[in-house]
Amino acid sequence: MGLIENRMEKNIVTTTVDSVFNWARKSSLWPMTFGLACCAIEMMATGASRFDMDRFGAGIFRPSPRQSDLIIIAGTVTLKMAEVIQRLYDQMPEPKWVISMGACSSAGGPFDTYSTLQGVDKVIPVDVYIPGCPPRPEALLYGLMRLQDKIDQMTIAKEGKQLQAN
Amino acid sequence: MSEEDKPKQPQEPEGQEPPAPETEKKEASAPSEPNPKAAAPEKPAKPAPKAAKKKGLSYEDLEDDALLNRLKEKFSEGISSGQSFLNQPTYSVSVDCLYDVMVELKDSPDWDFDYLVDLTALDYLEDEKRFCMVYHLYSYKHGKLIRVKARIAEEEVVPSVTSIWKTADWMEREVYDLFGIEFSGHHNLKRILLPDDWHGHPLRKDYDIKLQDQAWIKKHLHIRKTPE
Repeated sequence: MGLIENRMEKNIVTTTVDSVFNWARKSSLWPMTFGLACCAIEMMATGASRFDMDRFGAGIFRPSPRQSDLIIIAGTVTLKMAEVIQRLYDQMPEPKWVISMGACSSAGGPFDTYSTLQGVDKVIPVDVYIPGCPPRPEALLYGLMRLQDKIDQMTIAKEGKQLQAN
Repeated sequence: MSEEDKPKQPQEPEGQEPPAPETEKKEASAPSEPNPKAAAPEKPAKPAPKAAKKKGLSYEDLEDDALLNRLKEKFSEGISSGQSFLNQPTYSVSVDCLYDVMVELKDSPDWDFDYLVDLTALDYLEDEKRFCMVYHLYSYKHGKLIRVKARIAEEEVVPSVTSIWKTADWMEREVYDLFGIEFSGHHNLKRILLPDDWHGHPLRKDYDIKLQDQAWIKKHLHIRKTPE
């Protein structure tokens, strides 16, 4: 991708290529299994049959960060775990996105204490925050759809946003 | 000594004078009375012991308890008192004979407390004997649940009961991690919940709830500037 990115001004070639690439990326987001606490239960519920996440293409949960392009931080992030999250995020290949699910990972939740990181965006850049304690599966799917809209805005043209904003 | 062992709950001792510092704190806090039926007509803020107290809803000294008598004859000066609340007995021992008492409770066939339910500690900040070790023991054979308490001072080392009940291994590590109480004879006494190189013991009363170890954070995490 580096060869064709950032070379042309916006024209019909870039918009066509963009639409194809973005459609491919947003329709097959493969998340990593990263449920930490109670939000993990809701994430499992979203992946199960009633609120199927697989109809968005995002139902393949990969166990390894090296094979996933989305990480859903579902649950409370302690300081001890934050170190691990940094390492996992670094292991994900580009393009990668982060959804912060729930109140704990967005801002610490109800746990303003010595052990809890007040928001996972202190250690990794987050694209979509989903509030809730826990957010309903519909809310997680809505967050996923908003992430898909964000991916739609990516472009290979010169002046556009290349990847997600850090 | 018996008054020291009452937990910080808003209860008045039945027919006893409230001793100096601790119970004053208890009585100063607004009592959420466990016996609303009995206390309803009276003003709840009055600290004086009430005469007509509902039976079984306050700490009562144990009378005629077989276990207490047996322990007293075996370890005379070590057992300080026994009390019971809602039919659950609590025994206060001194830390010197704590290990022997535990061996007796586990091995003696009359008592047979083979299940250590919980092992934890309390912090009474202003007292000279600051910490109070609490052990909950259950006997499957007799169906009895008791509590054993032992007051210790700050730097005192407590004998580990890991050789008696294996489950005490991680429970003592947790107490060490959160309170800083050391146990002698523990084969692997290191932190279990917090990271290994954390400074401070959070469940002590003089540790601020929001205090994060900035040195540890600086060393292990890369905090990024959060977006606006």
